[in-house]
Amino acid sequence: MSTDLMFVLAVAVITWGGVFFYLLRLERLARNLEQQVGDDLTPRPASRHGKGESEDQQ
Amino acid sequence: MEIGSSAAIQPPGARESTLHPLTALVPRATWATVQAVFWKDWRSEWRTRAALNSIALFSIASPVALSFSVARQRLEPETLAGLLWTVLLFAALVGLARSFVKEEESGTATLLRLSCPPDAVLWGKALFNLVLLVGTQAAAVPIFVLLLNAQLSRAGLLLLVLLLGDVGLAVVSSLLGAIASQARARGSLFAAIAVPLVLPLLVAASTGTAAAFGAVGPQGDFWPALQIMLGYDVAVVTAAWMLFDFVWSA
Amino acid sequence: MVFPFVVGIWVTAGILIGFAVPPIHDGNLILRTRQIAFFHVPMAIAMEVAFLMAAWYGISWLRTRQPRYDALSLAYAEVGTVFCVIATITGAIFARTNWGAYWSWDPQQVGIVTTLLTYAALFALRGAVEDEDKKRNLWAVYAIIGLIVAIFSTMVYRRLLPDNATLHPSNTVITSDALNKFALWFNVIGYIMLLVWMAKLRSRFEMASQRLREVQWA
Repeated sequence: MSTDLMFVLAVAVITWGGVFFYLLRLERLARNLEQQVGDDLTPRPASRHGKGESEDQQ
Repeated sequence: MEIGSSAAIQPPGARESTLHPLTALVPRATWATVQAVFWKDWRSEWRTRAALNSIALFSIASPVALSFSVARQRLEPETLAGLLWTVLLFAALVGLARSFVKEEESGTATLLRLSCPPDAVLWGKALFNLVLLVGTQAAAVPIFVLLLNAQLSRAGLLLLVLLLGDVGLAVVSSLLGAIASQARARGSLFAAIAVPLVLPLLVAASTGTAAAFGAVGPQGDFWPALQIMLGYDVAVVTAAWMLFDFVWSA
Repeated sequence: MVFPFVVGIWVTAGILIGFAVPPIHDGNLILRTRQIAFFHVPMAIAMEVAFLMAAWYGISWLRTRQPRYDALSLAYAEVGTVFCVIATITGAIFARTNWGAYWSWDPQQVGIVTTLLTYAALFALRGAVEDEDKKRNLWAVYAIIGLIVAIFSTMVYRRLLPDNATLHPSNTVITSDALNKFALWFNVIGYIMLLVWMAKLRSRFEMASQRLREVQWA
């Protein structure tokens, strides 16, 4: 493997490492945020946006 | 023919079912309701001729402007075809969103929602846009061919390409006009969302038109272009048919 | 909490494998900068998957009216657009070293620019509608039609043209020897997992910001 290739490989791995740890940080951030707003990804039929069905049919 | 007298008025129960287009029975369009929407648009267009004037003027004025700038040059069939479809596309973008934007601006959209099944609105307006396109092109394309000295070696092919292109343009612009009319900055948004979607059609149409203008070699092979256009038309007609309820009854 | 680390290790291994495999032949030519193929091709495939998922969750939103499906649709479209940009750039670099120019309006390049424009228009549309439900409806509809254009311009268009119309190698890596095939599909799986991780993450932020908007209005 040539020196150039080693260099590119190093850049690729370092870049990916940076992206990976940034994503891990975002993951932690998302968890904190969800705890603060009291939300998770479970369906909530009672939201403001679920209105269409109940109100308009009356 | 009056709208009120036709089958356009639905029984009261039909209206609320538009809220659940996938689960409940949506009133389906009949030929009479499609016609009713078409003739309504036709009449209100004929009062002002706003869309007709802008499309016709644009598609006639731009070949004239083009012939000034390229008057003494012998243009390749590919270049001519590209120019023709650029002119036709922008002419369509200028006028075709009108049919839905008009309804929202004058506040008649709600009335239309109440009195017609959604499909009838879509197909009535698509039909109207198609007639508008074909009508203006009947004037604009001969002018383009004359002014820019295009050699029309396959006239039938050109007609077929124009027709397939117009069907696609009319249906896409009806669906996207309905989308854009519900957003802010309607006119500019319509152009922004329509151009990417019609690019496949435009590419195929200019390849087919180049063959009609006498292009030879790999560019002269027009079957792939016709296949693409037919496939595109079928795809957008199906997509518009299935998705229009969600756009219109939102 | 295991999934991110699986993705991390998998993609790292994928990069290393991509650099270790022997040269690829396109006809008689040896492709230069072939390592990019193990990044560019998976990115393009993951991009198609992303747009497919965006349309799928768009349909799910239209059927069920669950805001989280809309958030997922938005997330997949956004991550897919990022992947699309990466695929375009890496493709241009590959084109420079093999065909001599970064950009030559090759059918494949035309296709990917069309796709990018479609999704740029999608985000413009989302920004231009105020009502939340209407915004989601219009987004879903446009995402579904956008998928048709994306599939057409990246996969169908080039195959309908004459064979010599594109310089883009069509099946070079897939039909080459087993080691290359393994390296390619290993990377494809890795980047699709990365896509899923990123999109899930993005949709969680979207849901949180929607909650915050609701709290603000209440």
